[in-house]
Amino acid sequence: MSILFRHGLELAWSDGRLSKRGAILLENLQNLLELSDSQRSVVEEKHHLQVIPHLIPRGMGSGASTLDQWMTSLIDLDDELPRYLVSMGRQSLRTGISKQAWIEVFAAAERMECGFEFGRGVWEPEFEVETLVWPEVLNPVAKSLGLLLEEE
Amino acid sequence: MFVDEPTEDEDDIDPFEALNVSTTAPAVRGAKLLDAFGEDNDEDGESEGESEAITTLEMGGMMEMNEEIVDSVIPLDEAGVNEEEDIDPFEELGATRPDVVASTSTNVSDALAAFMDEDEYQGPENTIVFEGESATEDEPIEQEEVEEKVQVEDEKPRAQPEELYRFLLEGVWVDDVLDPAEVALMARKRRELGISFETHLKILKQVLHD
Repeated sequence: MSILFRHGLELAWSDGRLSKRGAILLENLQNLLELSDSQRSVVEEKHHLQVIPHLIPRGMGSGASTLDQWMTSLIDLDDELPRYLVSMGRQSLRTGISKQAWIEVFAAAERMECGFEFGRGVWEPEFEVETLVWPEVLNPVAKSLGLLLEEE
Repeated sequence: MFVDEPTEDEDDIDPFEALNVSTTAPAVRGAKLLDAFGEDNDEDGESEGESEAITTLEMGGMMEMNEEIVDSVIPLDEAGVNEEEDIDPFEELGATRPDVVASTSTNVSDALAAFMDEDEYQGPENTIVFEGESATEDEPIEQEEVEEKVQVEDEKPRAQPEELYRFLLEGVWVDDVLDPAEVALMARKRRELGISFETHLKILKQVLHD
């Protein structure tokens, strides 16, 4: 449902355990993205079924710190976020955007109040878009759009 | 003693004259009727037509007319019959004059109208309109009907631009991948159909979530 919340879950569970701080940060991320409980549950249940069983517990939930840094970077983008999303949308169009990628990224962009800008980057060829190198914090978006391989 | 046995007194009486029946042959009468329709046939033509008809009958041998019978024929003028006045071509053809038809049909229609609802009754419908006469009230009614038909055709639901755009947008995702050519096509269609980008996003959401 939300590629951003899914990425937050992956960061919070990165060492195989979820700390209390990590759980609180996920609550904050849910609020930041304005996800409803039902929407969150869909993402989280899928993650619990498909990802967590394959994790090897090796820490004490240190992933919370990584999640905190990522959320801070995302919030700091602020006014720059629409420009990056427009650019990423235009770049992804050159190689073709799948329906699923469009649905996921557009939904994420809308949650960050940049849906219109991302849509223009994809659907308005007359709209001039500068090619930008997106920041690392937006890698989850780049992966969904096929701009970044999963390994990267 | 027979009743029908002829007597000398009876021979003198012409039965046609007694019954006031014209002895003119039907063919002759028909020829006269045709002459009455002809524009060029005046009084001179009538006498010629009569003689020609008699000649035709004699040549055809259909009716043997001896001189006595021919002499017994009472001239129409003497019998007080004026051909020009009495022969009505409409009556002979089984038709009636237009004014008579109109008045008759009006009476009939009025009688029928008594059995009809007042709202449904629109007046005489079977009035015969001859060439050269005006159609009176029928033409405006027909024009109104035509105008109504045109209005109905104009009011027929046409494909709405948004519906058409939605149809095209569904086609874009058939192969599950959006490419630059498809985006350029949809941008051109938006301009042609006058669809804003906001509307595009709204329709796109509907398409993807249906």
